[in-house]
Amino acid sequence: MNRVLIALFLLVGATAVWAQGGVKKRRPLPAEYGRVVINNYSQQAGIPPVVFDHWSHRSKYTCRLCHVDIGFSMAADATKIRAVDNISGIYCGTCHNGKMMMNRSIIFPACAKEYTREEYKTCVRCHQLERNISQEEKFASFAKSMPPEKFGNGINWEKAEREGHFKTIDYIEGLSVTRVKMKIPTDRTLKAKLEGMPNVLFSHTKHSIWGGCELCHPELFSIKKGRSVYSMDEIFEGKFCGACHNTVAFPLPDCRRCHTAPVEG
Amino acid sequence: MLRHGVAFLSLLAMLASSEIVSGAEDWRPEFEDVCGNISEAAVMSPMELQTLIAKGERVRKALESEREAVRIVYQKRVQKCLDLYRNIVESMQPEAMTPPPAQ
Ligand code: HEC
Ligand code: HEC
Ligand code: HEC
Ligand code: HEC
Ligand code: HEC
Ligand code: HEC
Repeated sequence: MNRVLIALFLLVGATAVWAQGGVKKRRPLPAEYGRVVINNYSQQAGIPPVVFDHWSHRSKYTCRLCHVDIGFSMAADATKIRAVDNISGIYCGTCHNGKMMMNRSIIFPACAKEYTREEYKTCVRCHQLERNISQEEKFASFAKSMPPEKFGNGINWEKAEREGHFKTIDYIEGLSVTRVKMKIPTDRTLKAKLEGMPNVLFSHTKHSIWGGCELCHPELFSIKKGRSVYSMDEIFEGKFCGACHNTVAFPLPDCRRCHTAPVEG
Repeated sequence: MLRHGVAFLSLLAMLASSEIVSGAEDWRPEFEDVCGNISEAAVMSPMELQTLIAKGERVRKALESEREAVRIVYQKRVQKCLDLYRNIVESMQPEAMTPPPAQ
């Protein structure tokens, strides 16, 4: 496996499809990367499944705001959102409540018990039956102005934010807590434990700003004496770094964005 | 004086009938304390951590009588904060004494 990985590392840049445990997965289109289809209850209730795109939300809010303060799980379908939850103002209904503003206009509301045919047009912005062309066009025009990247959304999100292409909101009145100023643990070099493989530079600082602490500890990374050991195989399975870097943050085929640190002798 | 008193009482009545206050949310300050200090967790003493864990447990209890929409979100949030504090406490124990994981 290790040899395969090294070969991959040397090759990468050209790989359009990568084998994962022998199963070939179609690489999602840039507009689809980070898309979550939520369908625990919708189809059963006779309404199309919900399509949630990360790209349009992460350019406005931090990961922390949604995954810590609002309480969305970091796994598709795991939150078990109900229409009544949205109606009572939690989950999507925290913002999609027909009251909260964004860029001086009201964010369209989420579910309702009763609705007119006209109002149903709002329902299908989330409960999407077919390809949403206008959303794809919105993506294209958004992506055009962003620093490019080979993989994922085709956007270098880290650079885009650093260069001020967008600013993210990290606080909602009445919901978020006022946090003490961060005392962030130092950035670290994670050793790749394989001869010839560049080590991994992990920025605790940047990740803490995006995610807070409780997004990673202890669910993804247990804080222990000494280092926990994890392998690239596990990361490919969606554990550790792979929890985010295979679905929302830049994906794993982008070996060189992680394996950047010089090899130690 | 009396006029002020009446105004005050009617203000109280107004507040009490509004949605936000009807759930009382007495747990709110302690919740803020527990989850607002999360980014200091790595530099706290075991004593400070235990104090926050105890507060977090009180918040969890108090949330049990909240309406569902409040309960499901805040139970999850406070649990995450508790998990992190416990994880740090455990990381401070000598290896042989590491207690079994929480729950
Ligand atoms: C506006 C809210 C919001 C923001 C901001 C947000 N997410 Fe999400 N995220 C969600 C929702 C909703 C889901 C789906 C949860 C469900 O289905 O139960 C989700 C799911 C995920 C998943 C699981 C995806 C899958 O395919 O299984 C990951 C990983 C994730 N988010 C990471 C992130 C990261 C990293 C960021 C920041 C760059 C982020 N999220 C920002 C709302 C958000
Ligand atoms: C933190 C606030 C927030 C949360 C939580 C949130 N959204 Fe949004 N969402 C927004 C904003 C702001 C917009 C852009 C506003 C607009 O276009 O009216 C948006 C836009 C959208 C759009 C684009 C619609 C279109 O046709 O352009 C969809 C679809 C959507 N959200 C679905 C969801 C779903 C599903 C959830 C819950 C799983 C959710 N959102 C949770 C803030 C949020
Ligand atoms: C901002 C996004 C959004 C909008 C707009 C929205 N919904 Fe939902 N709705 C959701 C999410 C997320 C779920 C959970 C999906 C699932 O797991 O199947 C959901 C679930 C439902 C369900 C499933 C039954 C249940 O008990 O949960 C129904 C029915 C429903 N919505 C009706 C509506 C109607 C009617 C409208 C328009 C008036 C609407 N929704 C608009 C996000 C939205
Ligand atoms: C994106 C995930 C992520 C976020 C967010 C994050 N950490 Fe970490 N943390 C890690 C990883 C990875 C390690 C190294 C773990 C290992 O040794 O395997 C680590 C290690 C630690 C350690 C062990 C000592 C050390 O410095 O290595 C502490 C303490 C810690 N983190 C605290 C925090 C605190 C406090 C925050 C919030 C301010 C935070 N972390 C945010 C991923 C994260
Ligand atoms: C999101 C960051 C990230 C990306 C992207 C990434 N890796 Fe890794 N990789 C790691 C981490 C973290 C470790 C192990 C750290 C530890 O435990 O010391 C690792 C370890 C390894 C190792 C050491 C042996 C092993 O199996 O653990 C190899 C080889 C490796 N990666 C190859 C690759 C290749 C090839 C790619 C591209 C296909 C890649 N990595 C992409 C983070 C990443
Ligand atoms: C909670 C989700 C999450 C986890 C877990 C996570 N990351 Fe990230 N990471 C992000 C997000 C979001 C970005 C911003 C860039 C993007 O979205 O493509 C990012 C960016 C990065 C970057 C580029 C920015 C920089 O620091 O130069 C590197 C390298 C990186 N991550 C490595 C890692 C490694 C290694 C791990 C595991 C030890 C890891 N990440 C775990 C969410 C995560």
